[in-house]
Amino acid sequence: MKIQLQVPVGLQIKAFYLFFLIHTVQVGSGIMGVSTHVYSQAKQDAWISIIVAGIWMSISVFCMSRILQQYESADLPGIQVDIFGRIIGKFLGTVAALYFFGFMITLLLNYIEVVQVFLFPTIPTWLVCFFLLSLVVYAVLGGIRVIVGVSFLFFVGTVWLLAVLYKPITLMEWNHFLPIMGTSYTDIIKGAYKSTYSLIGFEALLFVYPYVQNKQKAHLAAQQAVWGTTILTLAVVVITIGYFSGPQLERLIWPTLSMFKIIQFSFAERFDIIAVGLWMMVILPNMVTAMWLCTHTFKRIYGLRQKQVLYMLAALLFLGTILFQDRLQINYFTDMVATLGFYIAFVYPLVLLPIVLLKNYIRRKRGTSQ
Amino acid sequence: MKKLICILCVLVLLTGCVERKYIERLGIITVIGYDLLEEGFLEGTLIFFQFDPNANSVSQIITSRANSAKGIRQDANLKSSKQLVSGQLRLAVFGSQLAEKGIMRVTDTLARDAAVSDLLYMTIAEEDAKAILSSNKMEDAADIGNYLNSMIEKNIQNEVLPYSTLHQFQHDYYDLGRDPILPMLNLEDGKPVLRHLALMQDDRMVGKLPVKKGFYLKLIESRFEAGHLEVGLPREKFKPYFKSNRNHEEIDQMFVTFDEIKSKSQLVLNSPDSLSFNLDITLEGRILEISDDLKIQDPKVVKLLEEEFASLIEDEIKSVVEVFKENQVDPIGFGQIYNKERPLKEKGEWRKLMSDISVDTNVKTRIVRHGIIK
Repeated sequence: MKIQLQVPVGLQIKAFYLFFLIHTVQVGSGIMGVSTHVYSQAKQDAWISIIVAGIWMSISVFCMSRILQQYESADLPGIQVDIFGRIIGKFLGTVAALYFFGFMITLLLNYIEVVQVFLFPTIPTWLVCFFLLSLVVYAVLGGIRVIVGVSFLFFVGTVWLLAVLYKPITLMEWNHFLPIMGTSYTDIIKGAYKSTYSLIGFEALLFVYPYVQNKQKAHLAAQQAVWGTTILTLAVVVITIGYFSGPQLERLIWPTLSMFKIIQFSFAERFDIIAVGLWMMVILPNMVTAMWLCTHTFKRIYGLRQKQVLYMLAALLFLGTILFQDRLQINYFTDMVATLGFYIAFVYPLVLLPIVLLKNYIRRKRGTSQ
Repeated sequence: MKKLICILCVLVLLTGCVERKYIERLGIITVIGYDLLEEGFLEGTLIFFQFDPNANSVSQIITSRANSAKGIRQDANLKSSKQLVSGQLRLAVFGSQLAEKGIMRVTDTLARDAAVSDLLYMTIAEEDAKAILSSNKMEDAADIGNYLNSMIEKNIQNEVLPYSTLHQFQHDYYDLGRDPILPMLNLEDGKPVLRHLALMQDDRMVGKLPVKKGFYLKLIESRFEAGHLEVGLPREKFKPYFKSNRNHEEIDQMFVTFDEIKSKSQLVLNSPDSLSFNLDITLEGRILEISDDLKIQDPKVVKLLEEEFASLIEDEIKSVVEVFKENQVDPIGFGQIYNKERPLKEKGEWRKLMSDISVDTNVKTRIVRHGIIK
């Protein structure tokens, strides 16, 4: 397999669209319940945890782009083969691909459960799963440019949901945030760790980098995307902490969606139903991008045809999703994927960067001595 | 192309797998009342709308018994041809016996069921919820549920009742250092009216406060945008400023009605050890009625009115806080302010401290205008 990935101009995307790609793959099922997870650790200082996680994420993105800049036009599977050799490199690439597969299962499971709880209690899991997967397969068949288009359109199509949160904002109580720094530093860090499931996804940068046309701007776009996500998550966490009282927040599974229950218009009395339906537009770019990353990585590593991999994975996803039955299993599996995602997105780039730099240094030295 | 049409047909047909709900076959519950019977049995009274063109009345009332709130609905389904759904539930009425034991037992399902709106109003009946929902005096409303709902909604908007939605109740119930407060429904000549507010310790009703005193509660806790209030000021003090006598000598008070009251309050904890709070209130309003003929254009009179009004509010606030202390309830959230300084571990902790608090009140009032006559 080649380390560098040369992409024809017709398939390239502008760095500007990288913002939407990375931002939409991050925002999805995690943000539905992020406040509860972070609050359980960091209490009223949960918002500090999000800022900490945001800074960490920014550092990680910086490391990623430094790694990528060492090569002209390579992606993570290629770099791993270059650094660790064929066998280990391919193994690590497979782990990443399997992680995206697991990520997709959690997305599907969590959203389907939301649909069953809020909208249609009797709808079978396999049916929603089939609907969503057929859309995902259809989009992924269109290739990267369609995926970027989906991300852009659905971002614009759902970002206005933020505006209807004015109602919970008016009902916020600011003394829920006091005393500031009342929790210990370790709890704030633990809270930051808990927030990572809603932030993972920006590792997509390592995979789509060869497709970016103006690569010098890719870093900036990625930083904008992760800070956009941080600010969005921060807003959601701040509003939910102010709107719900602490112990009440700890009992909720999806505080972000529960918050929509207070919104009422004269033409739509139960806005929460609309919001949950619209949430599909938030989840879909997530799944489409994850699916593309997964199939693309398999194609890169094993030289398989992406179409075949796509159909196979869709079938496996369908089977994998209907195996899960209840909330506890979903929670367990989501935690597992979140942990793996944490190491891949938040830790691995920080470890990989010194190794890449060292290897290049040695290579250059050898080159000059010869 | 053929393939595409096939797939489209399948997709269209698959949408039929989704649960269908025909509005003619639904009984849309709008109000639900819960009463506690002997041995822990619950009696539920449901009012639901029916959209059947052949039916005589738009709504029906059903009473059923079970051990749980959802059990009541299942039992009620045995008594009606309609499929009962709770997506449009607007009002929950809890009987006083249940309220004294704790309403969280049935509130759990309202919070747990995603179909129930958070904007549902919670109320407590002074006696039985069933009696209130069975009343047939409902003015020109479509049914009793509609009447009760509009009455409560209007009074919340007019800043007479506290904001008592399901969300607010849960928020206050779970919050440290704060208790919920709910309006109470009473029957007067068979017509449901609002007379009292229920003071709650967590989810148990422990006392009552007249709705009129609720003004002072709101004055302390939040702000008024357009409130109104009737007060009786000592008549003796204003006697020198009377223009004429209106011949009501036997009353020793002069009644003044204020409206469009705007207020701001600031409640701070002086020291967490002594539990002494400092309350500053600024309030402005206009006079709409005076029972005596007063020289209102005289600045001295206005000043005197403002002072008397302020001292009356201070006294009233003191008495309201006294009621809270006696009942060991905290609907204002003194505990929340304490919690900022010294984080509370659990709700019970504040309840013990609650009876030792002291509030130093300082009220400033301003009379902005006094109608179209002098």
